[in-house]
Amino acid sequence: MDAADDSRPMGSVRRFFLLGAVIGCLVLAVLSVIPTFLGPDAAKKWFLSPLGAAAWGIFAFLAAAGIVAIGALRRRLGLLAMHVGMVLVIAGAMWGSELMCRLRSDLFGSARITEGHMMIGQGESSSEVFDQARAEIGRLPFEVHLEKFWIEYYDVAPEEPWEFTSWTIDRGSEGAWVGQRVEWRQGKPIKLSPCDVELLVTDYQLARYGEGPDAPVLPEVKVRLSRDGAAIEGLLQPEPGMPELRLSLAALYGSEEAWREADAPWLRLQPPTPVIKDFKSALIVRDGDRELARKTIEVNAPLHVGGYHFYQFSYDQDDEQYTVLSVVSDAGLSTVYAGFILLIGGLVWHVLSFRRPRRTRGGDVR
Amino acid sequence: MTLKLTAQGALIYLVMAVHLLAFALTVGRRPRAGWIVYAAGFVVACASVAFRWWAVGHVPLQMMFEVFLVLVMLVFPLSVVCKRVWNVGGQQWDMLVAAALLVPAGFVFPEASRKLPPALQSPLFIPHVMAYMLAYVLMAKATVQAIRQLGAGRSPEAAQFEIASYRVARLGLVLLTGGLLLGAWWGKMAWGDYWNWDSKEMWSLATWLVYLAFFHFRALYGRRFARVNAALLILGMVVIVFTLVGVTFLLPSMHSYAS
Repeated sequence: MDAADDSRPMGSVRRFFLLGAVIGCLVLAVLSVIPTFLGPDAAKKWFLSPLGAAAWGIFAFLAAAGIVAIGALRRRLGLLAMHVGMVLVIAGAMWGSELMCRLRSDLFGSARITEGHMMIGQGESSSEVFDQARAEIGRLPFEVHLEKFWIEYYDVAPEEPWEFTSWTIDRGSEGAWVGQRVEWRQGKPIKLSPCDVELLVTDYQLARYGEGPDAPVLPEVKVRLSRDGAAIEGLLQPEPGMPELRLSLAALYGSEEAWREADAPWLRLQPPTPVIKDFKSALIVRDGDRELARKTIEVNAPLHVGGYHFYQFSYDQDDEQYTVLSVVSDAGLSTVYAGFILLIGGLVWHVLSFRRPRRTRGGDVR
Repeated sequence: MTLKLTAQGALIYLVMAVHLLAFALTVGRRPRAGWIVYAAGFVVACASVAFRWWAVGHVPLQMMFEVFLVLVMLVFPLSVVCKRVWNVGGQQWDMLVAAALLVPAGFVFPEASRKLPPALQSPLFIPHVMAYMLAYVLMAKATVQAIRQLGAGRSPEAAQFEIASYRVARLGLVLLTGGLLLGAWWGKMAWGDYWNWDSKEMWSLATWLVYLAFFHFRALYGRRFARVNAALLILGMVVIVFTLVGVTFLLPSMHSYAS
């Protein structure tokens, strides 16, 4: 729709809705970004408040009213699809929102869970759903059984550099040791937090211990540690079967006692930490003795059953013995997806329906 | 600002140099030579992206460093499309934009790579990010046309620039919408919700709304207030820059893979 090509005078109704759309878009754009400086919780809180819902409601009203009031919009399939799509997206989102779910629960007593989490141990079943504060918010009408949970790691290449970590006592948590990774680079001095010791890796080489492709490849690391004008240099050579090397910095403090009193760290050279590639849960969903669904879920591959989606959210970070699932209701989802398809389909159709500009002999475009 | 003394760094500087040479040839009234060198710059940019892909073992769209390499690679083909389909000129400014886009990649963003986390291992990763990359390059081109329009004052050329910016932005909006909806769909698959009120999402939405405002304003007034049309396009570009760079480094976000 290009007003520049339309020589008919624009009606006041069409003008009103178009101007409303311009203002609505700009106002919503500003309202979208202001809460981002306050954090995602603030943004969510604002948009799920009655005021935020009203803002989107007005936007949807403008789109819907425009369809009714502007004949040209109805006659062009692409534009119509876009606007209907927009209305469906907002309507579906509102229907599935926490606010609407609370209203339905208050008015009709519907006890559907909107979203929450489940913690299930290996070999165990559960139907309990918790909120972020671990308070139970309801029970599902079926049980979810965790057959098995496991983590997959990326292969660690032999040439991947070993890591330095510095360890200090956390006085606040009953003397537990707290480790912090040191982002080192050869030739670049780096301060070890929280003390004033500087670490410099002067040389890093890899050496193969033994013959054959399976022989271990281990580093030989030359380091220089300095503090207050004093310095110590050393060669760190882990051997096969030795998972790490520890380095005391007491020599830089004069004595072990002075090092302890200063709450100074000790240094550890360890193999590279394997990076998580994926974490998976083999789930079975049962209603009594009847099996409703069975699937191994991972991030990006949820389970859909009974009007809920189950997502791989997190896991037991200490012993990897339980999984944490995110449970989300599908209320309004198909309406939102239908809106997405109409929105993008309508836009593509509308753009493709524009005539390709014709060129004159002089190369000008019309 | 640090010099990258690596093979990847060398490729980046070569791409930059070639694009600057193409710019110099084009403004020096040797457009044919400029086009040939511009095409060569595209080939080298592809080589740069391919090298990065091989080095990290996955599609290079995770880090800001990689994103800027890909953005530059897309400039030449989109230049050609705009020229062939809509006769939109200004290729010399595209060359300059491409060279400028490589400054952060070449001197600022760290080159160190990371393995893909579970959330990014999705068939939607490439389509979602590429839709946005294509949209950003197109909107940048539309913005250049808008700036040229403002610079042309009330001359007949200004109208041509205005039409050019509108046509380019039209395709840009399709891709912005596609990127937004693909991201929502992916968010549903990965995180459980098609909208998570994340900073990146909110700024992407704001970007989309600004361009929506532009198209509604143009539908309302056409070219009567052409300067306002240009101003809206420029505003959209400012929001894009903050969405791409500002959000990544200044605001907390679930999209923090890139920082």
